Amino acid sequence: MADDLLLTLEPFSSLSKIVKNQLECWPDHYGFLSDRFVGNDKLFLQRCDSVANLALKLIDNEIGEYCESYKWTCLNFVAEQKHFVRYGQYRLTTFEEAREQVYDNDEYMSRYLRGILMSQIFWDNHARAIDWFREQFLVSCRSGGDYLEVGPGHGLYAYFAAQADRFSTLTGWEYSAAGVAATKAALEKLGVKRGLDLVRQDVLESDPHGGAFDVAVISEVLEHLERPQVALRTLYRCLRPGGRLFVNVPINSPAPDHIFLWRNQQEVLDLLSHAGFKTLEAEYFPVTGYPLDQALKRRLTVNCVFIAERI
Amino acid sequence: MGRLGEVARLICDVFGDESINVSPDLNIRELENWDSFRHVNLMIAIEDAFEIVIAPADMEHIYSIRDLLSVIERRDESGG
Repeated sequence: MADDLLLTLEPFSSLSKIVKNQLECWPDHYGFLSDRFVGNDKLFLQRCDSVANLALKLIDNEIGEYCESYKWTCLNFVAEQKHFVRYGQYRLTTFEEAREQVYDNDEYMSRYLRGILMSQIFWDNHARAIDWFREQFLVSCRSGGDYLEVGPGHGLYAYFAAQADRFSTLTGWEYSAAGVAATKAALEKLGVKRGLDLVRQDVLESDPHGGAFDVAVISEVLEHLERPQVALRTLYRCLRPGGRLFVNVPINSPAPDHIFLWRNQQEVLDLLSHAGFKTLEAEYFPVTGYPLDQALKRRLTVNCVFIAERI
Repeated sequence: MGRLGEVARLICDVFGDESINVSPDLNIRELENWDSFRHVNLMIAIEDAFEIVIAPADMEHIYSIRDLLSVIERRDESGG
């Protein structure tokens, strides 16, 4: 039925608004968005609606631009997918290549970041990773701890960490001054009352302030690094014994700036254990429209999320 | 084998079904096993067989075999 999608979303005003705008801009995306939303349980959709409400705050009055950017981002991902299917590798393998082609290109980055924000709503694997962070990880953190997030970017994870109201301090590390400024602006738009102390810090370098944390969060960052194991070792050193780590990393996930390829969940589990972490919980969220076994068999993107403990 | 025959062979191969009746009006997206990732695989197979490059924006607009044939024919017109 042509109206199944809009009927499903009718009770959820923010989701409805974003999806209707996206369909006006890109009617051919109807099938994908139906796979994403139709048949989901209502409580999950309710939580997705609250994320969509936050996204609308970030989008402000530029929804048309965000929808266009999302379509553009998806088409770029298709080009990367073609390369991945053909050669079995990501197109880029070094940070320098990603910097030249993506990060230093302001126009490209502006559209890309807009598209990625929309993907937090439209892609099942992204939406479920955020949901798992809220529903499983945050509630498992003890009260009064010090929270660190590497690469908070759009600020959605940091927003929920602040809202959880269980951390004594909140710190965010961004690689660049531009990243610090962008995340600061995003958190202001989101109305985060409790301050996240944002600092410019490369996760591949030791923290010069010798910060000590009880919780570290690194979501969709490791795949952008040439040496993700170094980043995990940095976090290991920053965490107090018994500290908790939340990791979200996509496998088989060709994207314009993904350079480190993991082909299965075990490779990520091994990375965690080699860095000194004990994995306590793991969950795997496949790309929209596929069950996990099919996604793995066909080498499609799966977001792997873990809660690990610093031994 | 004509162009339509070659396309038919590739479609049966990508979709793993030798019984697909491929005609110009066939809507690829209505095939039982169609999904966006198989669509990408089909485009790669077409690119390799006909030595063309199909832009992602063009892939989005390919629904029927006729659409596919016109993308292939554009190569002939451009002398590629």
